[in-house]
Amino acid sequence: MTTNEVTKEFNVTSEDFQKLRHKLVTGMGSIRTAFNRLSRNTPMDERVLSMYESGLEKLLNLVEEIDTTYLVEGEKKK
Amino acid sequence: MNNTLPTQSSLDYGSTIERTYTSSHPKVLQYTEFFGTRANNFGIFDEYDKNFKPEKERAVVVGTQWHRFSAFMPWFLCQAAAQVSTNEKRHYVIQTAFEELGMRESTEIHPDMFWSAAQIAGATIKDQDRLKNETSVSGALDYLKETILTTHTDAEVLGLLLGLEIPAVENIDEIFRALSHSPEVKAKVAETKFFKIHRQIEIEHVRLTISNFLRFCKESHEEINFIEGFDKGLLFWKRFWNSLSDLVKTEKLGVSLK
Repeated sequence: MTTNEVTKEFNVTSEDFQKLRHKLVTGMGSIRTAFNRLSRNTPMDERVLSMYESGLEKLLNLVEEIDTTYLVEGEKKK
Repeated sequence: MNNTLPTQSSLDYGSTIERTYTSSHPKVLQYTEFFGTRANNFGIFDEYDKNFKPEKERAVVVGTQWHRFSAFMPWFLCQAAAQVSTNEKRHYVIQTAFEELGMRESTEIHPDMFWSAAQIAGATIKDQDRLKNETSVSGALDYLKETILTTHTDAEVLGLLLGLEIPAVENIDEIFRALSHSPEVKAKVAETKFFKIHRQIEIEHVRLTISNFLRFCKESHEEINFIEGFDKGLLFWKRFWNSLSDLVKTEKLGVSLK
């Protein structure tokens, strides 16, 4: 689906997707920083680590989906 | 890579004396194939290879995170040598640690040599600092540390060492491929002493760890323990490369640390 098609169907603009992407990567950056700090001196509990990795992966896939499906090259505000 | 590589002896790494389990011994060949096939079933590079592309972000991730692993390994190998119960076993285990630490040349400590190659590929001290606590890689390294510290039989220690060594050639190829994100960088990285040495000595390290199995694990319970340790080594690799795969994606999508 192209940006134009999405815009028409859902009444959203590519700018909305850019904002959403920005919020997502900022939030993920905060989570990543927090976990890195937590695991710096103490080994992370395996179950927590597994949940973190799986959650991060899902969010990464979502950002990737936004990039490939809803934004064209040049619209990704990293 | 360059096909006219120097020989082990020209790099001062050819001093191994092995009278029984040489690289052409039928049992060495048989068990190299056996353990190699078992290792392949773990598919340690499956996730990592899925989206492989030569790119700077990948070089930085692999450069910094492989350096973390390689800097940890001398401690791990010395710990393994300390944990086995006889000096004869220790003699074989410590050889790899000695080589990783540059033998008698302090300027050839391998993690340091690797870092020089990684810097040629574009990794910086700033990247190293930024990515030094990456959680999922820390988790994999913690798993390895915990595993060696809680392993109680010699056979399992020796098996763990083979599990870590068995994909050595593939590992070196992967890190070389990751660092070589342009033809110019590839040519420079190929000329580094780290890669010249490692292309040669990894084959010998695998032979050495296979010979540990043949020499010291003749009872069935020792074989079982050895294989348990071996599988744990492969589980580490799967986890390590999966972590790198995620980290490359994280870096490429611009999820930056605060």
